[in-house]
Amino acid sequence: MMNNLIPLYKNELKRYFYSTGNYVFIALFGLVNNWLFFQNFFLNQQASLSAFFQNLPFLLLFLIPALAMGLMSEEKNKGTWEILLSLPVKEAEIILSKYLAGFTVVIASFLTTIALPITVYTHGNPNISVIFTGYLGALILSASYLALGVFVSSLTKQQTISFLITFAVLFVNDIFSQDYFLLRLPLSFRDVISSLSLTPYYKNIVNGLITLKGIVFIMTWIITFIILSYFHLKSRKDSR
Amino acid sequence: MIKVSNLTKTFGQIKAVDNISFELKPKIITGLLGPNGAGKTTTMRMLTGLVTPDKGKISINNKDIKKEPLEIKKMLGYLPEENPLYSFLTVKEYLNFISEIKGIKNTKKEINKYVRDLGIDKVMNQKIENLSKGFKQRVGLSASLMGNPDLLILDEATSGLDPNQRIEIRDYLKKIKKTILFSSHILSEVQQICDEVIIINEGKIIAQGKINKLLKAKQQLKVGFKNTTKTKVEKEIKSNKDIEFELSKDKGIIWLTISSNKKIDLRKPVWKISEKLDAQIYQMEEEKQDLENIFSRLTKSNDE
Ligand SMILES: Nc1ncnc2c1ncn2[C@@H]1O[C@H](COP(=O)(O)OP(=O)(O)O)[C@@H](O)[C@H]1O
Ligand SMILES: [Mg+2]
Repeated sequence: MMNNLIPLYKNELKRYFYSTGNYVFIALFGLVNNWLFFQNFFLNQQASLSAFFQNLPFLLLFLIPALAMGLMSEEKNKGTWEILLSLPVKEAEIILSKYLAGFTVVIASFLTTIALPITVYTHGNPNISVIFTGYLGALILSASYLALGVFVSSLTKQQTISFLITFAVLFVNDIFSQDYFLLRLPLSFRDVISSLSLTPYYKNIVNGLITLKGIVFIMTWIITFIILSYFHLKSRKDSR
Repeated sequence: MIKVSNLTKTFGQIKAVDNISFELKPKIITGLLGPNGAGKTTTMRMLTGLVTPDKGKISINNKDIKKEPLEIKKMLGYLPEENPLYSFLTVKEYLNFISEIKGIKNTKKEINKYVRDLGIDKVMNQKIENLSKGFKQRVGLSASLMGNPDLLILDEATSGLDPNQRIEIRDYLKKIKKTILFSSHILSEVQQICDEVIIINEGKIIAQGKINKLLKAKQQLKVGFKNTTKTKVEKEIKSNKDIEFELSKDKGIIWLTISSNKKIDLRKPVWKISEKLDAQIYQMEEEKQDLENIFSRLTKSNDE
């Protein structure tokens, strides 16, 4: 069925880890998280992941659009797209391989925060399930951000534009969950608007609350953007 | 069998490819010749499934590209213009990747075959980005050849190479006896590599056929005879079935213009006539028109 998924995925990873720029994004992500965490740890003698998970939706606003901005378009710019599409591969394999490679890089990015749970485990309240649900939420949120990023990257060959659009949409998505925004809305709107944002569902998962509504919303989000990317590719609208 | 009919592709206002039809003869190299912007690349991109035609049909071995794109792609080898490659891979990694995607069973054997033939064994472990242009071209060519495709599509495969590299690629392509569609905007290149040619301009086919024929049909000789008559000359020249002719008379001189599709020396029948009729040759000029003249005449409207 998807025989070519693995070779395509491996090739994507090789591409990714070949470019120095991508290491910079990952390193920056690790740096910021470790710095925030250990500053708090040394100044306040507190070993807690709650600040880390709370800041994540905001930090991922930068990381994911940066990782995703060239995901679909780099090959178009470099010309290898012509080779790729002339090979006997399915459109779905192309989209999925790129999405999964991007997600693998997300996982690699989270590996740079490995010192955080270890410190919490050895110095603080060693509650494994909090660490687990926290990272689960983080990965699910990243996977959602990334799905949007893949779609936007398939629409434009210009990476800066891709970054900005993804960033803007995710920013609005996050605003929809913020009290300072919601409180300005009529009461009846608040629930509707905040249920359209990924952030509340993410916060629930981090807190160990996994709801059907949350799963349905997140799955719908991811699948929608993957399918949109698929149909866009299938239409060959921007082939040159 | 490769068959293209009524293929059309429009980009906004530009008719990049305008209702073209052709068939490719097996095991020979067909040139797709035309000036820049003629629609060569677009035609090839439609053949490889990168661009969807607005109209028309493409079939290879009786499979329709619309209905079975994957089956068609399995039968294709494509070397795009500019030869894009995954520059972050080594040659070996790249060829392995292509082999895996094409589902080739005996990867090692298949790779070795082209590596040896094209002399890239020395660079197998080098990153593609560090290769010279000539080596890159051979890597791209190897990749397109892997899996022994029924149709090889080469877009300006020799442009940008130095003369020696060009000759190597040219000789190799001639040697392998595959069905090849070879595009170029350089006439001499097509003349040297291809057996058949399709000349395309502004998206339309303006001439197609055997190169030899296109060349020779236009090889003609104009002779003026003195001391004879039109009827006599006509009678003599008619006896030669290989020759087409035109006759006219001007101020006592019989003008004979002859041409032939056959590979013959057109002067010989002229000498024969002169001898036989005892007619003096007043003037004789060769109006040799090679493909160059045809090409430039046909594409005069938009010279590069
Ligand atoms: N994706 C595209 N969008 C708009 N115009 C295009 C596109 N691809 C090709 N063209 C135009 O179509 C015409 C044919 O181009 P092309 O097939 O590349 O010609 P060639 O390969 O013979 O030089 C040109 O006028 C070119 O500018
Ligand atoms: Mg071209």
